[in-house]
Formats: sequence, structure tokens, C-alpha cells
Amino acid sequence: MTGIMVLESEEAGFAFQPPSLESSHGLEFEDIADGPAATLRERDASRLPTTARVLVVDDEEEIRSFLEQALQDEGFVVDTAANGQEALALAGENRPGLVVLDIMLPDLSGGEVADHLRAQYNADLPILVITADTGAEGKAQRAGAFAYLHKPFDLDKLIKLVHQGLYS
Amino acid sequence: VVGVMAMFSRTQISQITLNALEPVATTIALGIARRRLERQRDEFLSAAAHDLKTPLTSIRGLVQLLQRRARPGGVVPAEQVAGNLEQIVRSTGKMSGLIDELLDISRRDSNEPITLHPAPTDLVRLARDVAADCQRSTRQHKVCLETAETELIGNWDASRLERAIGNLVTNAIKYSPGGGDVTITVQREGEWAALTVSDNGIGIPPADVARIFERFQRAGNVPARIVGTGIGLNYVRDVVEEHGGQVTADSEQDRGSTFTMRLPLAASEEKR
Repeated sequence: MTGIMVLESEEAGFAFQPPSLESSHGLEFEDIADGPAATLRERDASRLPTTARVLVVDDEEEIRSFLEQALQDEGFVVDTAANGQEALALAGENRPGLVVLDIMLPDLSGGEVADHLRAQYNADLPILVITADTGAEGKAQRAGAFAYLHKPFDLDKLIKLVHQGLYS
Repeated sequence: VVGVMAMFSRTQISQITLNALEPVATTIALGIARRRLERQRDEFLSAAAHDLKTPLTSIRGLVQLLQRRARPGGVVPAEQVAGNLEQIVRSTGKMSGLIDELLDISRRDSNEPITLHPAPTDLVRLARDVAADCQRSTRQHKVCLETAETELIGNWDASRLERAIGNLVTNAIKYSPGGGDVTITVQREGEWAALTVSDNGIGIPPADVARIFERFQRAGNVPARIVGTGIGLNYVRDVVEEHGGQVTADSEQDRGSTFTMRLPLAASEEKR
């Protein structure tokens, strides 16, 4: 088993907690996941870099667009890529703090993108997988994602997970 | 022919044995054919679900984005809100278009013809709208319309034709994953209006071109990660033929494809 499933809800989607994260940070994943996003923001605001960079990778413009706006509203710097090649090129220019990754891309598979990103930087680059594929748990885990969400996902939950991935 | 049943024997196989085996072969063949249909249906359903989920995801996401922005102390730039609402309307349009297409297809399955609602329709304008709409969905492709006509009016079903042209253009985008130009042309050819959509994408292998308009048929060179229902081109053909026109495909693998639809400019009146 590559991680411990710690978050499950009425929404389709889970969070994996890699054992290393648990031991090194001792985080309370469930507390964070269940707490309101505002509390999380306030709690973290003081100790966080204000311009965390999030890379959003999805081949659908309409999805990139609202994610970009929602994450910018949260104060993040957002890069968007429409495919795997573009994602790797952007990540090469500016190191992202977290990647929101659709695992069904037209050129590279999500797993390949994740592998390249990790090779480029290091293993602790958090990846949040989003997918329309209901049987994607295995793919998300293989991509080394700390969590994944099924489309159509809950935006509030996605934003919570981004905060978790970046700051816990 | 769905397969070959082989039997090996040291002695010669008698005609009686062969006759007795025929029903067995038939049963196996029916089983294979049914399994194939089931697989096609499963692939179709999962691709249709995938296609419906994209606009649904964006509608939900945008509504929640607006909810967040409407919270006390939230950020509400007016022009962004207007843009979000516009996108919600576009996404619902995309979803209902897809649902209408599925309904037309199922009507076709029960041998009912598609009931067209012909009205004077400008093909140049339709092509321009589709080009603009599809351009919005990609930044790796340049979608452009080339035409010498200012308008080309026929008695056609505008919304079905728009979906058919939309299918050709979204296919051109989808099957050129490396990006590139997608060119739409519109011209008058005597009593016909001709519209072409060209790309420089993965193309279609020669053996698959002939059956590319058949239901559930997708080219053999399409990578598994490019999801498709296998009904888009079938729908294009149904709609165009229902108008008394024809659609053809011309493609070279790894070089790109050109689809051409020809619609009668005056036939709708003649048909009555």
C-alpha cells in the first residue's frame, strides 16, 4: 500500500496520506480536511509564502479557466497548461509548489507527467489529480498523487486540498 | 465473418461431423458479435459520460467560484462575474447540444428519421460562430475560416448543422494533439454549398477512411488516451444526408485530414 486513505466523503474522491508525510509533519489531515477553508487560510496565512505557485494541467480550457480564477482568488500564482509537454515546459521555467493534474491528457499520460516533474524537481512535489474517470484511484496512486478528485468535483474541497498539499 | 473456428483431427473429418459443428460455430460467432457490441456500447457510454462531465465540471466549478466570490469580503470583479456567467451559459449549451445529438442518434436507432427544422441559414455565419467557439477551447491550435463569400444561404436546420460542423472542428482539434492550424473553408459550387475542415493532425489510416462515418468506428491509430464516442462523424453524415447532401473524408496518416460536406442550396424547396 502506498498511502493511507484518510479522507472519504459523499463526494467521489479520496486523499492518500503518504506515510513519510505523516511521520515528518505529524499533520492532522482529517481536521484540516473537515475544517472550513477560511479557518485554514487564517491559520496558515502567517507562516506561508504569499506567492505559492500552482500549476493547473487540464486539456479543457473551460476547466483550466475557472480553476485559474479560483486559485488566483486564493492568492496563488497560477500557471496553466493544456497538455503534458506544456506542463513540463512551464514547470521548467518556474518551479510549482503544487500541481493540479488531469490524468487524461492528449499527449502524455498523467503518470508520465508526474514522473518527469519528480525527476525535474524532487519526490515531494505534491500532485492533486483530477479525473473524469471513475476508476482512476489506481492511476492517481501510481502518479504519486496525495489526493484525487472526480469530475465534477467540489471546488471548495479542491481548494482545501491545495492548501493541505502546499502547507502541511 | 467474425472469426475462424479450427478443428484438428488425425482422421478425415466427415461431412456429417462438419454439419453437426455448424450450429456450434454459429453460436460462437453470435457470442463474439454480441460481446463486440457490448464492448462498443460500454466504450460509447464511458466516452459519452466523459464528454458530458467536462461542461458539467465547469458549470459546477463556476457556480461555486461565484458563491465564493459572493461571500462577505469576497473578491467580486464585475467583469469577471459577467465572464463566468457567460461561460456557464456556453457550457449548458454544450451539454444540451450533446444530449440532443444523443437523442437524434437513438431516434436513428429505432429507424425514425431526424425531423429537420429547415429555415434560411447562412453557412458562412455558422462556420464563423463554430470557429470562434472552438478557438475558445484551445490555444495550441489556430482555427480560421477562409471564404470569399460574405454569405451563403440555404434552407437548412441551423442548430443541427452547427453541431455537425462543430463535430468536424472539434475532431480536427482533438486529433491534432500537437496543435497546429485548423482551417474551415466555405464556398459555392454551382447549386451546392461546400464546407471543408482541414487539420494537420494524426490523420486516418487508409484502411479506416472508408468506415470512418460508421457508428462506433474510430481510426486504428487513435491513442487510447484520446477519448471518443465514435458517434460524432456518424452524426455528421446523418445530418448532412438528411439535408440531401454528402460528406466525404480525405486523409493521410500522420499528415492530417480534410472533411468536406456539400449541401444543396435549393434542394429543400425541391423536395417538398
